[in-house]
Amino acid sequence: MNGWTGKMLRVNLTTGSTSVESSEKYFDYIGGKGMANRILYDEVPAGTKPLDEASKVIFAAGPNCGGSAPCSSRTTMSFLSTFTKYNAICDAHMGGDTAIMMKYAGYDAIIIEGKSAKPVYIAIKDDNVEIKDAASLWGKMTMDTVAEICKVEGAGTNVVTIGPAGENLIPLANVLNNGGHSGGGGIGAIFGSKNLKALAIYGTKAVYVADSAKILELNKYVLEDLMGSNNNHVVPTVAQSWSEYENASTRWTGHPGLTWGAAEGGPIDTGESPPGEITKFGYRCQKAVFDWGDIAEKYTVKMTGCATCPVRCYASLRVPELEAKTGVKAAHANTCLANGVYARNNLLPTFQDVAEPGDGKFMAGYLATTVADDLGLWDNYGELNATLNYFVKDDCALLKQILPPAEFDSIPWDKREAGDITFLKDLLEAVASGKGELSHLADGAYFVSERYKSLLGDEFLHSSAMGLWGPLGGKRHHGNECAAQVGLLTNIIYNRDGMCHTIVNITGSGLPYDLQKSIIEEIFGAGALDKPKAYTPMNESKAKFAKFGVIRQVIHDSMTLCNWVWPMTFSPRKDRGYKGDLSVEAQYMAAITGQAWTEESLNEAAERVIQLQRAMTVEAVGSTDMRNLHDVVSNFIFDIDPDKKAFEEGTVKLDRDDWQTALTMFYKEFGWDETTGAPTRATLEKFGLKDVADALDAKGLLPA
Amino acid sequence: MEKEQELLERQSPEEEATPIEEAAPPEAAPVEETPAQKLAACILATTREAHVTPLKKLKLHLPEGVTPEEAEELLTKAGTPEADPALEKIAFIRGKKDLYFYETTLMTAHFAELDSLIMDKDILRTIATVTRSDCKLYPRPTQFSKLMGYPFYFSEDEIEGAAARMEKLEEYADIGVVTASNGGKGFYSTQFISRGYAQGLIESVEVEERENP
Repeated sequence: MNGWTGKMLRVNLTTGSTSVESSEKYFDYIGGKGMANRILYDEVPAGTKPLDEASKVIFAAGPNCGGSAPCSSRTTMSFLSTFTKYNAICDAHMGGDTAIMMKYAGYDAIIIEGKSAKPVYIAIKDDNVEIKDAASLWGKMTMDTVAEICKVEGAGTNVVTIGPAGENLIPLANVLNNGGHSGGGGIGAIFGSKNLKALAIYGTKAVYVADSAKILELNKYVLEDLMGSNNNHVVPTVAQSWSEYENASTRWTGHPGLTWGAAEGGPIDTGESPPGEITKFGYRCQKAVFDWGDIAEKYTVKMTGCATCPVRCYASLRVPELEAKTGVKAAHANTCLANGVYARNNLLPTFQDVAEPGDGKFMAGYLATTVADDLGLWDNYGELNATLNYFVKDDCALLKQILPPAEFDSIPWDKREAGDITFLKDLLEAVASGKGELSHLADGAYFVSERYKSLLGDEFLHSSAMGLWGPLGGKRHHGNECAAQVGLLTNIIYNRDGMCHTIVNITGSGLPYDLQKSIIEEIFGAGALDKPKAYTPMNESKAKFAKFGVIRQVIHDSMTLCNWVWPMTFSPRKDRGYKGDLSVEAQYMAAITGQAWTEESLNEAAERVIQLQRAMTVEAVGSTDMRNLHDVVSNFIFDIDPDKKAFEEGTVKLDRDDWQTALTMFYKEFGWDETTGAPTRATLEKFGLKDVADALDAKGLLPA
Repeated sequence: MEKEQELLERQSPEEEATPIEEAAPPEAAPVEETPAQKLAACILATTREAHVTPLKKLKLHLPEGVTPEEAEELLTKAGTPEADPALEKIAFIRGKKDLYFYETTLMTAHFAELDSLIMDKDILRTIATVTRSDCKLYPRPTQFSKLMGYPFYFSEDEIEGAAARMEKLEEYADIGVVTASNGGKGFYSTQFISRGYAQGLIESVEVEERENP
């Protein structure tokens, strides 16, 4: 079999049994997210709560994983959200080596079900699967757990583990693999509820492909002609001799004079890295400086990243002064928002210096991020930090009202007063402990709001301070601030933050607006892309563009390509007119599987996945009225910048009536009922989901 | 096994060995490079180092056998139909103080313009040119931080000083400064964007993008 392994592994923690089953019946869902979503639909009854024994976690990768395409080793994990309203279907996407190890071990998916009576970890070495005692690991931090398991299972083993936050069933708990890549959505709490400390995988088998020559040709094409840097930013941050454009906002940060300052053997200059020169690819993204600012340059050892990824989007830093002063082994190497979020706002109003004057804020952020990763505590794209800040603002006015006096006094406020950065360590450890009222601030914004409703009213969930896309509790993630209605529409599809990078990779590419516009309008029609902060009312082109954003993301999460880099909408090459190639994913699918995949058939398969996910969400909501019960967005999106009107230059403010029009147009694109936003029988049957339609019908959940 | 044997046979020394004497090409007589070729090589070398070549500097360090008059005559024809074929890929920017040459397959006109502005050492003109271009193209204000980094490396004092001087000069009447809520500043040009729009955009690039990475 090519691409897929054709097998999935089932591990039942209640019985201790393991079995291998065929995965072929899920190929219509591509793999990865699609496969995992369908398994969850088939096996976890609607109404199940995430920490119930009947709840399951599915790890899955697609046919492309293991086939060598650039950026093809992200893992999708599907489960029930622990932290958003309705506890509906939720995915987490994790980088690293987990997906490729799972494929090398011979599995397209791993289904974890049941609940162990005592702490265990699952050890997989190809066909040999064991459930092992984890009593000695319970209570350990994530970094130590990885090290301990690798001592037993062997170096090179990929270890996906929870920390104390997951063990303590904190809804905002995550898993991390090998210390550097995390998956959120509350999966850590589900692991904890099953007494599952970790999943350790080592695989030695091959992933077979139908046309290896074509795959190598595509790899060369993508690397030389299409791919830019992280998020497929195709323009460097600063002017380089070969570049026509530069844009300070991009992640193509490498340039002459910027180094990996703590590299072994001395600083390495990132230099110029023109398109086409693939041996310099790894120098394009100096992510430490992007994440942390100029101060991080001297601490940068190197860039690192996931299996098969040339971009190298997360930085490995060495900060010995921080360890010497605080005792925290600063080894954070995670990606994305974790970068310093806890040192923002007001959790710590002042910062003591560590190694040099003025470095306290960087050190505080780095320390807190390391601690959060080690605890397995998820930030939910900054939501946990926002919640903590909400409660400590105004001299802890709200915190004093929710904490018993003894608990409030147990927090080392003297450290905060002094700007001692280890205050953040103490605070995060208390949050992850599961003890006391403070821990509930990591329940997820929706549940925090419910718990303290009398204090918070509606304001908390709708505030710009929280920055949620909607009161459901998902954080706005490339929402209305990214291509207006288009970005926000990609957010409301999910039961967590959007995580859709298709659109932001375009708006953030670094190319001038007129160039972006001409390429995007050629695909989606006039008016598809607004100027930044100069928005126009909703139109059909925008609805098509938003649908494209979602569908591409599903393609990537299902066939396994990193949506933080893909799709190749643009190119860094002037000789291509900066146009990318949106047919490449289908070309890979055809070359890998030997089947006749086209852009159209891949889009159709991805849309099947979204239709299923929407149907599952309708089931979780228990109503067809998605417009008023699920797709509701936060008030701040319409109320920010009170001195400006919607569609005025200089604001990302949207208009309430226009948003309703946007929803209607978006529903139409997906074939959903235009009043409620629920999938119709005709649409579900069009995508081969008659059984799903029948099930919804039986529950009265099909639109009239 | 068959494949291994085939590979061994292919790599057999008898088959691969070719007498070195036979393979070596006949020694060619050295060909003297023309002045145009020498100049092109000089400019190419500087372009490889990510810099334009100022004519005045080139004339002080001319390749052997090229006179200043020859150099000027050859180079000022670059980019015209009369240009020497050896200078086909050479172009220049007419700066305020000099002509700046570069090799076009390695360097873009955009970068050459920036480098020539920097070499002209006219900070006001540099800031105004970059600002107008940024506001017209992207659109966005030109952040002070951009001007403090590669390839400009202006100090904050120099930039603040330039902003103050531009306020008083008619030719820079379109250039203004906006400040984000984090204190980050940027120049904008009213030729292309309004102050209100610039204010919104500086907040985006200085603050909001970092909150939504």
